[in-house]
Formats: sequence, structure tokens, C-alpha cells
Amino acid sequence: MNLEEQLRGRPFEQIPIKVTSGVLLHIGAGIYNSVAGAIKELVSNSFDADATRVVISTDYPRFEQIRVVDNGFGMTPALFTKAMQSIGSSLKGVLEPTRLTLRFKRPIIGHLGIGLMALTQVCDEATIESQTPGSTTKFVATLNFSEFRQRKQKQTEAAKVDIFRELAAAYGGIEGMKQRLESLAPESDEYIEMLAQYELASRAEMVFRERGMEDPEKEHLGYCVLFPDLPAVPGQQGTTITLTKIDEGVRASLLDEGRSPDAIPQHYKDRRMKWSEYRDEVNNWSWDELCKRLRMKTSQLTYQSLPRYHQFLWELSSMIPVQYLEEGPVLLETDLLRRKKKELDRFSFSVLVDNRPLLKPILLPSGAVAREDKLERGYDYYLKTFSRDEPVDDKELLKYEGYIFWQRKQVEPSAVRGIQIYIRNVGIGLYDQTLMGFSAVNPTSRAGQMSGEIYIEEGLERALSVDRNSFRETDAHYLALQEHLWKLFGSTTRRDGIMGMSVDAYWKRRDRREEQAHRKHVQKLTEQVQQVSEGKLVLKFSDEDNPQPYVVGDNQITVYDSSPRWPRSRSERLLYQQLLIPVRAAIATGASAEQVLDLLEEFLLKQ
Amino acid sequence: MPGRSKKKEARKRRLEEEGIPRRIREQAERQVAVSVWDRDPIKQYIRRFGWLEVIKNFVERQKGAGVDRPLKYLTIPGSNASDIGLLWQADLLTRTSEGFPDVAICDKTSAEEVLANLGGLKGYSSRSFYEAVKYPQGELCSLFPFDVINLDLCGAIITGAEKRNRALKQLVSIRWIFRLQRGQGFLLLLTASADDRSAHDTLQRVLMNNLNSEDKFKETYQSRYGVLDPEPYLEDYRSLVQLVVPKVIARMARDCGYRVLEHFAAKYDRQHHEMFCHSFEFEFLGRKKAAKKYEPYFDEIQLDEVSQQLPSQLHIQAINAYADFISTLVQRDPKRIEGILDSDTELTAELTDEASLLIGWWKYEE
Repeated sequence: MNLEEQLRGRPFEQIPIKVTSGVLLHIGAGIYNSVAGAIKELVSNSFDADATRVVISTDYPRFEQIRVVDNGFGMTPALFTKAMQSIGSSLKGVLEPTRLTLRFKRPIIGHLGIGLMALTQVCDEATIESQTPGSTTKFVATLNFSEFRQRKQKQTEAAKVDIFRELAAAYGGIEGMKQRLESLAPESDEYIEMLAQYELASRAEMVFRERGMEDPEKEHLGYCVLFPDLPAVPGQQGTTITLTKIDEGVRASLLDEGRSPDAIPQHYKDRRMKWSEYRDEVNNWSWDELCKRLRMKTSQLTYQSLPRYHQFLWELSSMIPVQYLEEGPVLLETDLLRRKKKELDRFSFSVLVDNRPLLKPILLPSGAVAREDKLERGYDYYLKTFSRDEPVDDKELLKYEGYIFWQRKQVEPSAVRGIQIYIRNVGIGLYDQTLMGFSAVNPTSRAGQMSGEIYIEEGLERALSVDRNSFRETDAHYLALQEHLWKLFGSTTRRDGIMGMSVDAYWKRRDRREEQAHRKHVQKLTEQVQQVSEGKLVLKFSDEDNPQPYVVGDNQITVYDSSPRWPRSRSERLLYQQLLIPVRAAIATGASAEQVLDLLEEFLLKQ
Repeated sequence: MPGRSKKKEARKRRLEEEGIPRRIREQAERQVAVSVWDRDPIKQYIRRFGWLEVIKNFVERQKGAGVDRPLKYLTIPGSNASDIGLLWQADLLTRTSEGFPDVAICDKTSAEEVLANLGGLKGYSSRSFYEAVKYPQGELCSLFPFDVINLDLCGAIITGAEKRNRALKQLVSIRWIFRLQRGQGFLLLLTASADDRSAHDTLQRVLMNNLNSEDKFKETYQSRYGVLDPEPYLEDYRSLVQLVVPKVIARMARDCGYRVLEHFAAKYDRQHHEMFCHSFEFEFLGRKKAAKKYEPYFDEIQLDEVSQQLPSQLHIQAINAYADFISTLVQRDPKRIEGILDSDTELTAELTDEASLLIGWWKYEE
């Protein structure tokens, strides 16, 4: 009898929610404290269920309940039960044979249970209701995390002990570790690392013996009560997840409690707005308008000064597989990511939060640069697209495409600075502002001028941390991607990668500025010479080498700009020329000392 | 592990004691019952011959007055949202790639589900209707005014002491509707239960009061029944409700400067519950030009008695219109839908098919 048959006909089942130690540790450390990170996981589940729409209600502005509803294919109680009992272990094995969803051929994201566990940081209770198409029954499951919360500390400790004991197990126990230590040179890096591990493992073993802790693998997060065979509403399908007893900290955050009134942008502060009023004001804007205001920093609106609820919306929209804003991500290059945008269209996946359709909020160029009339590629901005489709170390395939956009002023909002990595179209955490560690190794003010996205189609998944919001930075795929990116960033040496290009752009801009200033200078001098000589002399500017700074001829005065007698400093040179040349022209055409003095006074003194 | 199974047993006992399994099953069964009712020929009769006809005529009148804008519709739709489907199929609602931009819904159990199926709405609330329209916090307040409000309340509007709190909330909600409409003409399609017999005395008192105080009502009543006591209504509780509820609503309308017209009234049994439905059209008396009747009269939502803000002449007009309206109530007999369907099996079959076709209607021609 399979699980489905066993469950059917029973009024309810108590299912232990089992997690791996890794997940437990992450929960204990509060890594899932981002509401957007938790909701992202639920949205990913809907994406895998071939839903076309996900509707999220946050009960704004009370935030007493959060509901996530989709119209996908739903889950069977058996699949749900399986997911509950193996959270943290990938269900990829189950899903691997197809890898694409049936209806929309979406790459399956997987990890059914992680999202539910992330909820432990958001709420105390969750109800899951799911119905598959054509089914006469549906299931309802209630998850209560309060028991878990009470036991969290003990469990987290147990999980830590377990993990450190596993470290020793890899060497055949503490003794094995000791032997390995003795075989290493005491000054080597490996010795020092091993020593630290040995200390942790010995302490874990000691705690384990003293307290007689249960093996955390056998521990669990509590129970889920499953009602597997409730009557289904004919014609309906999909999954509804309702979060109640929202964590007080999360609610307080969404309500901007404790935030200083000084953090409200001046424009709204001037209108004597409190956080709640400012939040309502921002909430009246459409999604498009909010994103455009952030892009242009309208009324000094910055990401940091956004209400937390709108930061949540922003974070969520940047991580989920929805389409870009119409003009995004780069307004100047509408063909950019054309294939990706078409693919996102083909997925037919939309997410509405409180009746607001979310779209990826990336709009570049932004900030001060975007306010300028005309922008020139390679001068004001630069765009580098790249891709890869080959195995790492001749083993597993690493396939991706992406772009890096550089602009000559800081990217706005700050949340778009850095690199966003997507695996199977889902953002892994937020933008990495260190550029995969690049800016830490090569400190530069230019890091904030860059924004990029990388879509990983194959590979890198093994590098994902269990929270699915960060990477294990020692993974071969991660290192390969990092190497590629760093190469693309280059250095501040001219013509070396994007950084070098930004330096080139700086010099180009400087040259062009100087050229313009020089033209203005020549024009002004020409007019002055003509005026003081009453049209008898014309000015000629020459680049030719000449020891003399200028030569006065019959009808002409020639300035040799590169003469060594002029000061080397450009600004001094221009000033001296403006003083000397008109005086020389005046004298050459018979001006009196009085007239020359007038001319100098006119130039030097305030009128 | 003995400790653990003990714990499991204790948890099971606690769940049983708290009645959680029963509650969850009952809720699921209620949802199924609603869905089954959506396929019922009686329900479809009300949709097709009641609401659809009334709305079509309303739109015709709007167009006749030179108003040509998409119909703004507020409803409590249930998970199948059949009413929205029917109006869309009849070309009365606009559907775009972003769903239904002129439709708002309020549904405690399935608002998000409907939104997920329909793609987009003008707005929605997953709270009770009372909370959704309670000014100023209600999510739907800012979306008013509407052209048509379909209020399928299921419960009773006037009850005995036990359920009074809930019934009062229904009445307060209707009162808020008049204020939120800000003097714009609209249709109210009302469905409620006449099951709560504990309100019998209250209703009788209201009827007696009217027989004593409202001359026109008294006159019409006497001409129909030949007596001046509530006897003819006391036998049939639902008829009593169908006399008093419209009167109460008309009274609220009067205080907000509206004249009331009743276009459709019917009674039926829904899964062993006595139900009734009415459609009212409210015309704001302060407007002379026909087209202006479909625009808000007040710029702001009036928080106090609207009648105090109205010119005295308008106030008198509203009082007269109210007297006229309640005198019509004793003259009409709401249709009994079962009677109509029992005598026409072909129509019943047709309506059953139509109702079934409305299940999952959003999947077609999206």
C-alpha cells in the first residue's frame, strides 16, 4: 500500500517534521530572518507547480496574517509528507527525470520543504491547503512552530554538536584527527586549520558525553497535523498557505517600529509625516512609479529610507522569476537579455502582492547619470555581456549568461549595486555588493558604479548553502564563475576589463573637457586680440614646437602653446596667455601705457 | 520510543478536544456546499433573470443618459466567481490582459484564490465586508463609488438578540455603502437569509410602527389586506422579512438623499435555508441632469448624517420618495423561484447547464 493510500480515509495524521542538521543550524542562527527570503521560497514552489499566478496578501498595514495563494497543480498529501520528512535534503532526485515542469517547461527549482522551514522565522503557525486538478479530495496541513521555538536553543546546540562530531568522524574519530595533526608541519596553514577543527570536535564530543544528547538527526521541528482527504471544491486547484501569529519582530519591522523619524527623506519630513503616513504615501504609488523614483532618487528617496514593507517588496521582486519592468534592466540597450525576457514571458508567471503586480525593479542607468540628456557608451556608461557553456575542470557543466553595467556615477538605488546571481531564475540572496569578493581584494570606489545579473542555467547548484541565499565559496563552480567575473572586472590599468575601461572613460572625459576648455580659451583670446588691436591683428594658435611663447608679426600674433617658456600647469598657462597676449596685441598696435593699464585692470580687478 | 508516542497521543487528544479536526472538515464541507450551490438552477435563475437583466437595464439607462464608461462592480463572489463570469460573458464587464480593472471583490475565504484565477482586479479584501468598507481603514473604501454592488450576505440582516452583533454589522456596512457612494446612483443586489425566526417580534414591531406612522403605507396596506393589523404577514416569516428589510434599507437611503426603486425580488430555499433577494436602484435626488446621477455628488465622504448636509427641499423630496417606496412594498409579491422551475423542466435543465459552464470560466478565452 503506498503512502497516498495509507493516508486516505484517515481523519488526520501527525507527521514529524524532520530536518537535516544544516537546516536546523541555519534556522537557529536566524539566517531566514528576511521575510522576502522566506516568501521567495514559497513563490518558487508555486513556480514549480506550474502556477500562472501567485497572489500574496500581507494584510497591509496590519500584517497580522500573510497569505500566499497560487493556481498551480497543487500537491498530493504523499508528496507533502515526504517533503516534511526530508527538509534540507534535496528532492532533486525525485524531480530530476523531468527537470522541466509539464505545462510551461519551466526549469524546476526544487527544495519543496525549505520554504516552509524558512517560515519558522516569520510566524508561529501556518496552514497549507492544496488541491490537485480533477481531484475529489484535498489536504489541509497545520504547522505549529511554537513548540519548536521553545526547543530551538537545545536543538540548535545539538545540531552544532552533531556537525562538529561529524568533522571528527571524517578522520575516523578524535583519535584519527589527532594522528592527522601529528603528521602535519606545525607552521603549515593546514595544521592551524586542523587544530581549530580538532578543538571544536573535542569540545563537541565532550558536550555530547556529558549531556547525553540525542542525535539531532532524530530530532525534529515538531509536528505537522495533516488532514489528507477532505472534500475538494470541484474545478479548483492550487495551494494556499496562510501564515498566522506573525512573529512580533517581523511585524514590528514591517511597521517600521523603532525607526528614527530622521530616516524619513527630508521631503516627507518637511510635510511632518510619521512613518505610517510616509508608508501610506509610498504605498499609493504604482510599482512602476516606485521603481522610477528610486532610480532617479526623486525627492531624495533612497532604498535605505524606504519603509520596510516596500523594501520587502523590492527584495522579493528582485529574486523571483517574474518579468522585468517594461524598460528594464538597461533602458539604453533594449535588446539586452532579449532571450531571457522571452523565456520569462513564456513562463507566464506573475506575482501580485496586495494587488500590485511585481516586476523586476532594475532600471539602468540611474541616479545622477540618468538625469543627463544624452549618454554615450564607453564614456558615460559601459555594458559588458558574457556567457559560458563548458564544464569546470572537465567535469560538470557550468552554463550561464549575464551582463555587467557600469556607469560613471553611483548606481541607484544602492540595492542594485553589485551582482545578482540567479539559479534556475531564482535570485540567490540580494545583490552581492562585494562583486564576488572582488572589491575586498581590489578596493575601489567603482564597485558602486556597477550592476550586473548572471543567470545560471546549469551548475553552481552544489555551491548553494542550505538557506539558498548564499554560496559556499570554496566550490569549484563558484570559483570558476568568480575567476571569470574578476577577469571581466580587470583592473584600474587602462584597457584592462571593465575597471580599465572606466579609467579610459575618465581620461576620455577629461581630454574632452580640456579640449572644450581650450577651444573656449582660443575663441576668447581671438576676440580680445581683435578688440584691443581694433581688427589689425589676428590670433593664430599653434601646436608647433617653438622656443618662443609667441611671435608678433605684421598682421598676426602667433601663440606657440607648447613652448617650454609657458608654465607646465595647464591652468597657469591659460591664465598667463590671457594676461600677456591681449597686452602684447595692444602694444603692437600702438596702445599707450594708460590703455595697457586699463586693459590689465579690466582683466584683474572686479568691475 | 515510548515517550514520543505518549506525546503524540496527548497531542491527538488535545486536537480532538479543541475540535480542530471537526472544524477543518466542516469548513471544507462548507466550501464544497457553496460550490455545489453555484451549480444550482435556482442560483442561475437569480443570476440570469435577476441580476443580469437588472444590470443590463441599468447600463442601458446609463448609456441613455450619455454615460459610456466601463461598469464598476463590487461583489462577494465565492471561489467560482460565477457572477463575474456571467457579466463578462454578457459583455458588461471589461477584461484586459491585466484581469478585471473595474471589479473589486470582498471574500473572507477565497479573495486571493479568485484574484489568482482572474489575473487582476481593481481591488480586493479578504476580510469581512464590514471590515472592508468600514471607513477609513477598510481596504475597499478608497475604491468607491461603484455602479453595481452585489451583496450576497448569506446570513440574516435582522436577527434576535443572539446574533444581533453580526446582523448589526451587516446593517452598518450597508449604511457605509451609502456614504462611500458620495451621492452617486447605483444598484444594490442583495441576498440574505430569512432563517432567524428569533427576530420575529422585532419585525412585527417595525411593521406595527409603520402602520401607525406612515400614512401612505397604511393606506396601501389596508387596500390590499382590508385590515390594519400585521396578521397577513405573521404567518409567513420570510414575507415579513421581505417587507421590513427593504424598508430599513430605504430609510438609510432616504437619509442619504436617495430615491429607491426595486427591480427584482425573489425568494427560494438554499440547501434547506430560507433565502430572499432584492435588487434596488438608488437615485440621488440632488441631481437634475441624467448623466450627473451617475457621478458622485459630494467630493468628500460624509461622516455624519448626510441628510443634514442636504438642502431642505431635497430632504423633503427624499422623505416623500421613501413614503412612496414603502407603500409599494405591500403591493408586490416576490417570485418564488422553485415554483417557476418546478413547472418548467426544460428551463431548469438549461439553467443547470449554464451554471456548470460557469465553473472555471476564467480558463476560457483569457
